[in-house]
Amino acid sequence: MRIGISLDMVNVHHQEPNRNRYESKYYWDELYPMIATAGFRAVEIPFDPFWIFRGGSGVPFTKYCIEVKFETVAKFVAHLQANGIEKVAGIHFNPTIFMRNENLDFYFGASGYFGGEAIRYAAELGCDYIAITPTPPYGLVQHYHGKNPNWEGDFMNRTIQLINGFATIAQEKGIKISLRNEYWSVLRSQDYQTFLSQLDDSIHFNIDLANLSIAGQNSTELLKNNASKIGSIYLTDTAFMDDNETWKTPLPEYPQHRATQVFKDVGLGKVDLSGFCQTLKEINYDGWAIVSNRQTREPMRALLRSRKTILDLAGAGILESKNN
Amino acid sequence: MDLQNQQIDSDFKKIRNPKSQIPNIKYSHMNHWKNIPYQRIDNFRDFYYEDKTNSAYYTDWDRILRYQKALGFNGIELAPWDFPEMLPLFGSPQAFKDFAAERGVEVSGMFHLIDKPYDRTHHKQTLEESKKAVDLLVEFGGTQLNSAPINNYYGLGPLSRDQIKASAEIITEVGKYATDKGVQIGIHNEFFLAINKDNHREYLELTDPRYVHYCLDTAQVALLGEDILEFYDTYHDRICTFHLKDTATPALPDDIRYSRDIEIVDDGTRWFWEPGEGVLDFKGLYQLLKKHQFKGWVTVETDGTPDLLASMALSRYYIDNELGSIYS
Repeated sequence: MRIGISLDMVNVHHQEPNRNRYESKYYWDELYPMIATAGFRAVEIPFDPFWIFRGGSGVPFTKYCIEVKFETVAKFVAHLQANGIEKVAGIHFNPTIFMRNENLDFYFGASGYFGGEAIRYAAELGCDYIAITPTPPYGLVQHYHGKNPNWEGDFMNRTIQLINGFATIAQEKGIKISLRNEYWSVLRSQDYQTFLSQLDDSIHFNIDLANLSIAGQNSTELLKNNASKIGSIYLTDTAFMDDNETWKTPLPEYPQHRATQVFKDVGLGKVDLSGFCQTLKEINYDGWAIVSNRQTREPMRALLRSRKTILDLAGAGILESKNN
Repeated sequence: MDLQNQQIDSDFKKIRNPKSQIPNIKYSHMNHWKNIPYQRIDNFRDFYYEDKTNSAYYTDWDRILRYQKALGFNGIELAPWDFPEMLPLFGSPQAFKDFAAERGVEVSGMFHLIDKPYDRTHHKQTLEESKKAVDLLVEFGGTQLNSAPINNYYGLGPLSRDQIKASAEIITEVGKYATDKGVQIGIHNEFFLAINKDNHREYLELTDPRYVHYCLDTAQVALLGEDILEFYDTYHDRICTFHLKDTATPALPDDIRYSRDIEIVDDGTRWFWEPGEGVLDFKGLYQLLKKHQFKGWVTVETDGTPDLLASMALSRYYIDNELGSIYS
């Protein structure tokens, strides 16, 4: 197993004191060696086209931003390596940003275009996989398209086409697609086996511990039963119980009836990390396990908390990593 | 109490308490909080204790609007890039309007980009997008559509005469539609746009003053290289509203203003500061506001600050203690 950490710990889109730093290049230049100092030699980068349009090219979340600040992707990779980050393990593409109006053609057109860009960016970075969020939150799609009584069927048919289109590009580029499954996905309302049967065989699946836990799934069982189809893993944590159908709301990461940090910093929630990592060891999992602290309130604290959790698991003989 | 007696009562109150007179300036605050993911957090103490950081204080609209009200900003100017989360969160502009009104805050306006105005083949789309923005603002109950007149200089400038003319034509068309809807289009120039130091007066004068107004962003126009006092004195009849903010670096050279993605600087250099923290002559400006008897919204904008609440309080102190005695 190889361990990396996701740059999603830098929450660029929500308010917090000093948030403005995240938009400038100097913040990231300071961050890279700190990631390595905290013992992480690989990162995952969220692909976020927001920063193409807002002049925030200091945020290294698209190829455009990288080319503005580093001229080439190769120079960016060299910059990371010089700062102790040996590899960009993968990219995460989430099309939710394009679910912003009642025009489905806009959503699928933009998702197709930028998803392709994300795959090509991943290939140029030398990534091993691209994790793809298959749908925006159920409640968000319903907000914009709920007037159409058949929206779920129409939406899923086009989603399958979209993902299979990504599979074609990914195969051309030699990148593995790893399909993420958030607890708020439109897939929650679908027959999952029917959905799977329509996907290209090259597509792998991601296990995200916190998301699966909230959705009531047993990650360890899924891992045991589908080992050959697992493309990547997110080591995530949560203490959230969705007992109010928050997954059906437009902003499911922010339960409106009772505010909480749905995704805890890794090690601070109630997910059975030990049991899961023990299974990873038993099946000789050889892929990427990415630590994700996507709702942390303090990136540096999350970085060190994550390292402590990993050290605790390693110290107990549960977790073995090739690169940490 | 009948209407006549209500008026008499109101007049007596003003005599007893001169501060109750309707001010000429209404203060608003530009929303740069980014996405605020909760409407209202009722379990605030529990939420805070989850990780004991001050992020909890910046996570719901209820508190953000209460901060504004406490600091005397009765208006909020909205940013369109927040709408993809904000509108699903509230369900509709009307719902947000009502929510803000319950806390004593109204929507003063919103920001908008007049996209690709230099290209007449794009005008139809530019107009349709702008009409949608006007309609949305009307739903929010706002009146000021402060509009960047064009895209960035980098990759586009310098503009030809015809491109400047085309840009003025389309914003005038937008202005006609807006005026019919009770909205004022305010040209909001920025120091890195293709309408820039050498052509922005020409552009302004090509627009129809009946339909197109001007939002004077004091820092942006100073960065552009204008003397904001002379500019306001000259164009006071066009200027319908302000973005009030300071800068420490007026009159930036061309090579900086025309460079790529210059609004956010690699080393963290800030172009914008709270009123009073930079070098602009706000007291002189307020003398001119008094001279021209300005009446309308003045929006404090503190983009680039690491702490919006501190900047809001600092701005309020400066307004009350340095500017308010000149004109209010």
